[in-house]
Amino acid sequence: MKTNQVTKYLFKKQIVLLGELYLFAFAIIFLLPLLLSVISGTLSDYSFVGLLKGAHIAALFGIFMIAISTLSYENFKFLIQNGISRKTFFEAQLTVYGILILIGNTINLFYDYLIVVPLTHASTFNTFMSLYADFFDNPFVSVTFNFIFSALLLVFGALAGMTVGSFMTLFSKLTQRIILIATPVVGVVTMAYVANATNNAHYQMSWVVNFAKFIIGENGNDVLNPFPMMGFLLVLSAIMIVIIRYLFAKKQLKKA
Amino acid sequence: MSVLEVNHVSKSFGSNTILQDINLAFEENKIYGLLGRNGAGKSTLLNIMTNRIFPDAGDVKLDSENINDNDTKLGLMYLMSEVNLYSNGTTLKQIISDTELMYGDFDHSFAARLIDEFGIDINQKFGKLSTGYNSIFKLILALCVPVKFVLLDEPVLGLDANHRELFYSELIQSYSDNPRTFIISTHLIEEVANIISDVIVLDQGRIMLDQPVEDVLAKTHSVVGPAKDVERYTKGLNVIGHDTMGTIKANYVYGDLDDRPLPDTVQLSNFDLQKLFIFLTNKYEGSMHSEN
Repeated sequence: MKTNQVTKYLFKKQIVLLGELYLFAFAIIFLLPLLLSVISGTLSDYSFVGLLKGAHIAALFGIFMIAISTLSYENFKFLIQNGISRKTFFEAQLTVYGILILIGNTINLFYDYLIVVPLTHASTFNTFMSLYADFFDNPFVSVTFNFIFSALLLVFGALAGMTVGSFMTLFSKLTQRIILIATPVVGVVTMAYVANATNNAHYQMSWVVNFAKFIIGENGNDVLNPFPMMGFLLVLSAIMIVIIRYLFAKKQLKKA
Repeated sequence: MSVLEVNHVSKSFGSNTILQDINLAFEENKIYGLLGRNGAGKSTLLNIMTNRIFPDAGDVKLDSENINDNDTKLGLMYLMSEVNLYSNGTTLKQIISDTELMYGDFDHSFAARLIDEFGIDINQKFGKLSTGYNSIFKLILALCVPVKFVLLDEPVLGLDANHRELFYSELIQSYSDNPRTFIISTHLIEEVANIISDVIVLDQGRIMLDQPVEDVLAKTHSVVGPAKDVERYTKGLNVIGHDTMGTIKANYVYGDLDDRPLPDTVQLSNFDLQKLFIFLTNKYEGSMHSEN
């Protein structure tokens, strides 16, 4: 097994991308407005603190994770050229995404707790704090679970990206385009059908609502419980890992 | 001794059958020529042998172990092919470094010599290479990785005559310094005829020939003389092709001759691999046998 070598290779490539993302984000969020202020002569309106408050670093990292996890074919090509099995690629890729999530999530929470909270005094700065901040009395436990919950959300996003990306690599470019066009159309039609069905007295969708309430942690109190959602994310992630492993095993070179 | 085996491999793309029940065994330290016309299935076979694509049926084994999803066995092979699997934006230097990370023990001194001889700038990006230099760079990698089986698919694509000669001479030198198995897939038969020890001819997805070159050439007989005498002498033999010039006829026979007396008017000699390949794959009307 060459898992260590492949992990090193993938990590080196993807941590550079992450670094570039942060640099790019810094340039767009802070330097571009500064430049525009200087050019337009409104430097007095430029507020670095204001920009700090509004910088959605966590969302940016989430989008980055979903985006890179959909793109696996380039790495597959290089690795299969160099005698690396699909199984090793799969294991190394999961490890690297795990490490990246650890790094990104740490940066996100440091940014939230050390910059956003002191500047804005907002308590609802991310999903966990918006929904489950009141569940834990101890602030240290709350921060710890915020970290775990946010990491789970990122894991879920990355795995969803990997599932979609790995599924798409099974098809030719033409088929991929057809799927990309057809999926939103089918999605909209399905949504319209479901919306229509829920308005129809014959269809009772109360079980869906009840299930959603259970997952979100509603138990009759004002305080939501984060554990059902965490369990749900864990189960979905485990299912996706099995699906991704299967899809990775089916990867093969496309005809040039 | 390592043996790379292809067992009952078949492959189709849609309704197009590319390979049909292929059985081959590649032994250690030999140079094989995998010959076939365009679309014969050579690249598909090499891609299956290196687990880049899957066969519909059959398997590939290295030292009796299936190569599918097997790092240890896949790491003993390197396939240089027309298809570019390196990122266009990566420098050649970085690709060498990444290749070493995967295979270990890259022969840097040999690579440096080849880089110098071919005059290639390794600081440039892979995507910027011309077709010829693209092939040269991939050949340098193929010759410098520590593997037991080097598979070369159309290795001299885009190379000029000087570079082709340089490549063949370096290949022979590399083989003599560090014997390992080379499988060279090409349709430039004349160029590899003096290099290869064994020849495999693939035609329409089937193996037509799989033998040592020496044995194959010993079975080639060109029978030249007056048409009547040539016809009489070659009657019942495996005539795979013929040429006619006026009243003089040449019948090309593939197979062992029996002890029938040779008429004084008829001359017997051997013919080369390229001619044999052309006759075998042209489906000449004469009796044609698989010589596996």
